[in-house]
Amino acid sequence: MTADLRLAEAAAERDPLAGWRVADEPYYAASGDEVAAFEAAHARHLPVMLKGPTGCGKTRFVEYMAWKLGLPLITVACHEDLTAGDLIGRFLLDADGTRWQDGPLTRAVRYGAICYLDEVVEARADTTVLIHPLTDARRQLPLAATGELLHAHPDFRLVVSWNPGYQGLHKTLKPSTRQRFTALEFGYPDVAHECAIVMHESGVDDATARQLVALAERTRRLAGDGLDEGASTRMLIHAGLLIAHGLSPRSACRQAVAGPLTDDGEVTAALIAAIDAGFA
Amino acid sequence: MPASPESAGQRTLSLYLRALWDLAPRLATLPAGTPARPILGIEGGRPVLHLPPTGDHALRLARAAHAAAHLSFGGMPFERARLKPVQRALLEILEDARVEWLAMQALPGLRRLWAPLHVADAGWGNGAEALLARLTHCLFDPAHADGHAWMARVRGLFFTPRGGLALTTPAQLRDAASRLGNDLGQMRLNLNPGGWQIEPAYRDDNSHLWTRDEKLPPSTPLEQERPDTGGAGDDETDTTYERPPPQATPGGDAGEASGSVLQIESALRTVTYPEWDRLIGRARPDWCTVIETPAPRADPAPLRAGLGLHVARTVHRLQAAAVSDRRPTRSRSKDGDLLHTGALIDAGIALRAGRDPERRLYRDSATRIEALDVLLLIDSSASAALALPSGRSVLDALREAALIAAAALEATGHRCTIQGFASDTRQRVRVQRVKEFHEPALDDSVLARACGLRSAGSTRMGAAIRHATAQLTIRRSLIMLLTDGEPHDVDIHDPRYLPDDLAHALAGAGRAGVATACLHASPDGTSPALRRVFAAGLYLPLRRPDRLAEVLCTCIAAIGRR
Ligand SMILES: Nc1ncnc2c1ncn2[C@@H]1O[C@H](COP(=O)(O)OP(=O)(O)O)[C@@H](O)[C@H]1O
Ligand SMILES: [Mg+2]
Repeated sequence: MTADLRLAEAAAERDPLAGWRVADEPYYAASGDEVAAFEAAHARHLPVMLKGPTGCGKTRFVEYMAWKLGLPLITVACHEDLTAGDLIGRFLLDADGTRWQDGPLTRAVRYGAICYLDEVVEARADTTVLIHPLTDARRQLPLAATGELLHAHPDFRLVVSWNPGYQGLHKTLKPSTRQRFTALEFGYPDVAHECAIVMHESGVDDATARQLVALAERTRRLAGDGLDEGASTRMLIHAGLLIAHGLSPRSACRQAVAGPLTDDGEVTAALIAAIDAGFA
Repeated sequence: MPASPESAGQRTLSLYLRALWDLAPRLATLPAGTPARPILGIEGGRPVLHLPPTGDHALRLARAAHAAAHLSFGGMPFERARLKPVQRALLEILEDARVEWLAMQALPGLRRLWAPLHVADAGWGNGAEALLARLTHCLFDPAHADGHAWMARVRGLFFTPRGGLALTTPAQLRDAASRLGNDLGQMRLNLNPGGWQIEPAYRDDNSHLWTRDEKLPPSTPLEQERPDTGGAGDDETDTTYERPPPQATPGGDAGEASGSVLQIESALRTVTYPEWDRLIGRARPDWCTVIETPAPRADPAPLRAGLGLHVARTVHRLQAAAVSDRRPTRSRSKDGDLLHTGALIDAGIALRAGRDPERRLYRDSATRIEALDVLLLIDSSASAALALPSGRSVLDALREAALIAAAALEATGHRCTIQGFASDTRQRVRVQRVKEFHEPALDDSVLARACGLRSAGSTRMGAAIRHATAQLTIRRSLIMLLTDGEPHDVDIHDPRYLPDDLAHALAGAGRAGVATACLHASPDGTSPALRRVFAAGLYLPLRRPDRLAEVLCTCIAAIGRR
């Protein structure tokens, strides 16, 4: 074993969550009183649900709050094949036999971190019920496989996100789950904030950022008709990065906005024409 | 009505107009051979853009963008009174230039769209028509060098010294047009009023700029486009009429039994439901009367013949796709939550013997189906009588798909009921029961009733959805709407009224824990209204109704997975 590895291991023993700490302040432009709201929920040990369209800043907000509160952040992207074991942990086999390995949720509960379940509705219902005993006064996590009953670390917090705009059939949180949370509504930032975010994250100038944000508003008018959702802040940042790299705004928007938004030929043609109209 | 090639392009134009200007005009196609200028009008409070059938994508965009500039920046129509033809032409040119200039302030890329179409220059000559075309070019592009002194004079009137707009009010425009008309008169140039057309050809004929003058015939007879507008093709857009009363026949129970297109032989029960009125922003209680009847019977032989084979295939598909809920089984898998004891022992032996252990150490998970109650709701309105290319009617395709799906659902542990619906005003929403939950799908009497569905009447979807919701009780249930049309009824003229009501009916179903989805089978393409009201992913348009059964089952399989 090299010296480096040994050092790393020793550090991990001292701080098992070292890898999940948010070292530098993440850039986050608040649009309202969401920071105070999150802090209040944190102070009172209440779980938080972030609702809003994809790419509007929910993940960035959690990163920022984790930094601000000095808590490690463990993020799990939920999907329909996510099993209880993926969250809680499982036995692994190594040369000496079996060994239990904590899953991300267990790790957050055991050592004290924010566990962020991104797109929680995507997880199967039998997975979501796992969080029930963690979200009430009990703050417990029973580990059936090891027989352990884990009491949550005082710093453990649960945050979930979901996008109410886009749902599959029966893809909605059961009332028994959702009523355990306090909710913060997220939308796309207003024009001024969105411009500032796009400039900061991609390095484009104010005029370009304005044009990108105007384009986003145009695509958002098509939500529910030609498109499931309009362009997200994230997409505008991607377009901005391409522009800052030297692409023409029109090519950048085709690549970062029109292409990812749709495969429908007629809708694509309309988006490209709308992009072309916006840039001299 | 087959989808015409231009209806595909029209969807693009609708989306383009909506995205850039938040406009939703009706788009119609002019008959071939008419003068190739678009015509912009207002019908019933909603703008209508009549487009020539010819032109490539770029020209179609240029036309649409110009019309949008009028709609966004135009004002009240002008009086023709006391303006000579040449002055009217000038006023049109000034107004076109003004609205385009304003549009390009917000959307500078429009210049790229229009610029290649402005080609008039000194080479066109010095006749009145040529000068007007050259002027149009000069006003569009202030940097264009024409050389004629009069162009400089008009630019001096039209633009401020810093390049802004000098003419901003209707009075200023009118005044400038009459002065410039006098200039041309002094140059002894005459306009042939009958032969003059606005240039370039992407610009509309500007008839909308003028108040209606009974003495003059309209520049192009608008009625002419009617034969082409029957289909959904020209009405791709979401509508934004601002019309008065949605209920054209509010009076009592005017439309009682006599003379209705919907026959009702033996009513099982009559139930009233509320309906959402978007104009007053609330639901009118007990507004729609749903009359439930058994579907009449007809000879099921032809239907039965086609079914057998499909059913087997579809059951198979459903079974294969149903991975609703996993449970550990005895077989081994590379991933999973629980270790497989046998595999562990094998692996221990392998390790001790110095071999690589097998990687499948976990217990596999098997599927378990969570039973779903499905109500298949068939639109049996008049439009469903439409013949498909195969010769069958849309209704034939819908009823066959419903039966196949019902049989496949039963074979995979779900329950299913089938009902048809049609309406004839709010007093008469007929729901015909084809198959009950307990009846096997391929039962003779079910098939006979399925064949008894006839297409007639309209499509009041909100009432039908409310009635369906009221019949479903358990939590995992689904209403699957099978339709070829859009919300429509003969007593409603506000095109947003019924879609808005449907949206409220669907929200109500959602609150009751009932999922809703719509399979829209229409050769005419998608329905923007339905797409808007159904949650994303739950509106499935299908251009070829022949594939209905297949898609329906794939869709239900996807539902079973949750
Ligand atoms: N309010 C904001 N402040 C700073 N950055 C933001 C904000 N909103 C969005 N962003 C940017 O947009 C990107 C996408 O946001 P993200 O938080 O990943 O979206 P979500 O989690 O809602 O899908 C982020 O990486 C960040 O660059
Ligand atoms: Mg015009």
